[in-house]
Amino acid sequence: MQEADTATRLDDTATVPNPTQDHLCFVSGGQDFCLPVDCVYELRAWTRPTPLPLARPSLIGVINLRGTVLPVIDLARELGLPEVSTPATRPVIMVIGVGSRRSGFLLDSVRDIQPVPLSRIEPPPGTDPSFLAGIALVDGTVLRILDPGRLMPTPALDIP
Amino acid sequence: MTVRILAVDDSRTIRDLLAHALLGAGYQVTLAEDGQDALDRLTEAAPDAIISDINMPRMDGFGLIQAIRQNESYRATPILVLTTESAPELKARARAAGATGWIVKPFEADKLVRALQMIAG
Amino acid sequence: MHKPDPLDEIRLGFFAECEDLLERLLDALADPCLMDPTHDAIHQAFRAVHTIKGGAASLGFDVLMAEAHGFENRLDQIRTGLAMPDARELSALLAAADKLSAEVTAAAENQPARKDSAPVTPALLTNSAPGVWTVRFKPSAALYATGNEPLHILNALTACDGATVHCDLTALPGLEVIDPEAGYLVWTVRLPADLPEATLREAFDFVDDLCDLSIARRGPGATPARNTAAVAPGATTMRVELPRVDRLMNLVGELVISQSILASTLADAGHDRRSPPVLAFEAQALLVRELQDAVMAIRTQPIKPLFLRMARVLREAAAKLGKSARLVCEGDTTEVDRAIIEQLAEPLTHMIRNAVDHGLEPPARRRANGKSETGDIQLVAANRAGRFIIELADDGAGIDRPRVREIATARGLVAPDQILSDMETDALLFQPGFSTARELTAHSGRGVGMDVVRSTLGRIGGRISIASTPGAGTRFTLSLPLTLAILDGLLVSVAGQILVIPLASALETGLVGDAGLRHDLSGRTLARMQDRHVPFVDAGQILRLGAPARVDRPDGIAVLIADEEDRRIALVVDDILEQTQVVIKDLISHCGPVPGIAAATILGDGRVALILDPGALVGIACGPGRMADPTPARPRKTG
Repeated sequence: MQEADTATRLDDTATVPNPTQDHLCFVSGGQDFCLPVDCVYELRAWTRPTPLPLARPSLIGVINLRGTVLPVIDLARELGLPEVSTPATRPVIMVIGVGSRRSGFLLDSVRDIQPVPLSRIEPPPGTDPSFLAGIALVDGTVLRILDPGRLMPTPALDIP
Repeated sequence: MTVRILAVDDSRTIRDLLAHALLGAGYQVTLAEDGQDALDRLTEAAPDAIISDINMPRMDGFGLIQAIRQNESYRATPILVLTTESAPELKARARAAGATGWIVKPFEADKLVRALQMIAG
Repeated sequence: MHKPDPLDEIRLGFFAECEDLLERLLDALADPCLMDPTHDAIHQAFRAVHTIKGGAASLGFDVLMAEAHGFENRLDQIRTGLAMPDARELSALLAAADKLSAEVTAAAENQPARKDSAPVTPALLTNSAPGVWTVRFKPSAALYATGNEPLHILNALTACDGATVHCDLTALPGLEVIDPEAGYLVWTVRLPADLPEATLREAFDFVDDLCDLSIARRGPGATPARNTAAVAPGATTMRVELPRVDRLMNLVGELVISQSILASTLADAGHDRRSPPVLAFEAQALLVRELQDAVMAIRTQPIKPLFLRMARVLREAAAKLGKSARLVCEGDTTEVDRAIIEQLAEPLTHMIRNAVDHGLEPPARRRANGKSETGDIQLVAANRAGRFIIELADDGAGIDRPRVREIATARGLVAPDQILSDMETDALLFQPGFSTARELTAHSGRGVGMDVVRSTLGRIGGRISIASTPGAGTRFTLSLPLTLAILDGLLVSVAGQILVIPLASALETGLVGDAGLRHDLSGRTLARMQDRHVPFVDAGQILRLGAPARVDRPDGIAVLIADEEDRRIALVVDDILEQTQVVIKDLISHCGPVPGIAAATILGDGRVALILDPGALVGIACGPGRMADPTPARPRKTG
């Protein structure tokens, strides 16, 4: 697999033979997903959030991220995935950002970072849920790429 | 005939702004970075008017004006001083030292040019 | 690499200055003695426009400069007594001020102003005579000695049309005795009187003490020009960039948090309350408190500039819609955090346009109904119950409830046979997508509805209610927090979690056992606190914190809280921990509104604690009051 050169992956689609974009691969609800690395701000070990009980069920609570109040969303619940029998042993909170907004997502575990060739990324098939940005076939595996914009909680009214 | 200006200020930014404004208005500009440097360049610059800051190392604005006024060729050359306040005391001091007029910093290019027109045409 | 334009910073400073100047202009125009040149108002107005013109000219904003120039001329004629303004003059001046303001905005946004409005460059007032300026200028020797040259000055002065120059040579001695550097010559310059005096004086900026100078205007009804010394109005103030103030505010907030960490550490270490570390800490706490008050004072501003802006919105709306309206303001010196003022601008603008558009009847109909043709729109600001309250009321036709009902039914918001009270009908206006008249929406603001107003307010912890009397008018009441930054709070524990109750809303606390519990007919538990019976509500239950109800436990603590309409409940908590200041951390913009929760804070141990919204809690417990809950009411099915 080609090493992704960070300097070239951004603009030189004309000159670099096979541009790639790094994706963070992780597990949520027992299933594999990934996100473009440039929207991931940090990964934190699990800390118990302050619960927001009257909010929607996937919003577990809020934590203190260096002085900012950060919502923590149970990604598996948000994506509507079926419940897993064995809960994660060491869950991780992944902080992603879109524009100036930040949000935390509870994951089962993080796998690794993979460069994904841009040419291999296809739009998601119509039957798949709307939170996918695309899918890619890499080394015989289907990678499901999430759309960070659709995951962020909308500031608009949001009542179950 | 192009009017020639000698502009003196120890701040590179101010010199740049002055040059920008004066060249834009069709003047010919020589720059100097303090009073002494201005005197050194006097012959080369042959200015029709001088713009000078007051606080400068080596020789300040007042020193420069004094030196210019003692020079027979440049005794009546109009001199504008750049001041950061429009305090009456400062104006009085500039006047007493022999300055022709003053411009308050930060200056507006148009005001600068108008002031130059009133003293140098 | 492209070098930044050094003029950019100057431009930014100019537009900031224009804001100030426009405010001073509007202030002056509102002065009842405006047209009297012996009062300062007209001069203040003139100076403001003159300064805007000068800056615009220097920075190349030609359209703005032309607008300001015309306006300045008009003001100059009034202030020099050359023209007597008539009754229409004030509205013409106000219109010119509005136009100038629009041009400033256009220049700031780098766009040409709307082409549909004709430029308000006023013609000379009809009763002004041509008149003539006479300038007499005699340079002294000192003028020449300082390098000044009368030729350049005269050239600058006579650059306009209609100028004549005459030189008096009578004092000139013979060549044999002449001192070429002495002043013998006297020039007399005549100029058209429509030039502002300031322009004339500008030519003599550098030499006015080096010559004999007199400037006089001759013409019917003219007064000789006074020596207008430029007196800078007003107090000593300083312009500070907002990000700096915000940074200061954040740092003070962090200091408060760091203080509570220190407090916990001291408490855990078991120091005696009179030991040196604790005393030192308390002394510091007082200082921090003062520092915080001082910084808050920087951020708070009077609401007046916003009200002035609303007056302009009103004028524009009335003019556009052919209605007659005036804005009556009260409490414009009320102060509130600038961040809140900024958030209010858009909702208030929309509501005022609405009031003119839908609230006020056309002048003919008002006359027919025995009302004055000019509608009154009242804008009142006040501090009440620890909140900042704004009331917007019109004396128009009130809400057309049958029509609201009709539209709501057509849009599927209510069932056709559903029975609604007046209050519930009025509340329909806050439903998403509700607009009473699509034809007029284009003016009321891009189809923006009251639901957006309510959600904008909700995002900063504000609430809005509506009250209306058919034929008499409609009143909106907005309730907002005083600040978005810091809060005096009561820390309580509920089901193992720490919550914060704003102190301003906590009227009293007491043991459950002492509260004289009773049950009412529907089985609700009531408590007697402060001589009233109030519903008894378990905090853990209402917030669904997962604990069983402890309403009957005598050792629980009841906190009496009230909303802005003074509806009360007794909120039961496990324990009261302490009374302290907390830094308000925004929650809503990250998570969306959460019922009953206003915001969050960070405690001394780093945990996040939720700040309760007492008004919303009262609403959840007692049902929606006139203050509509930020959560939209789901239409209730009948039967």
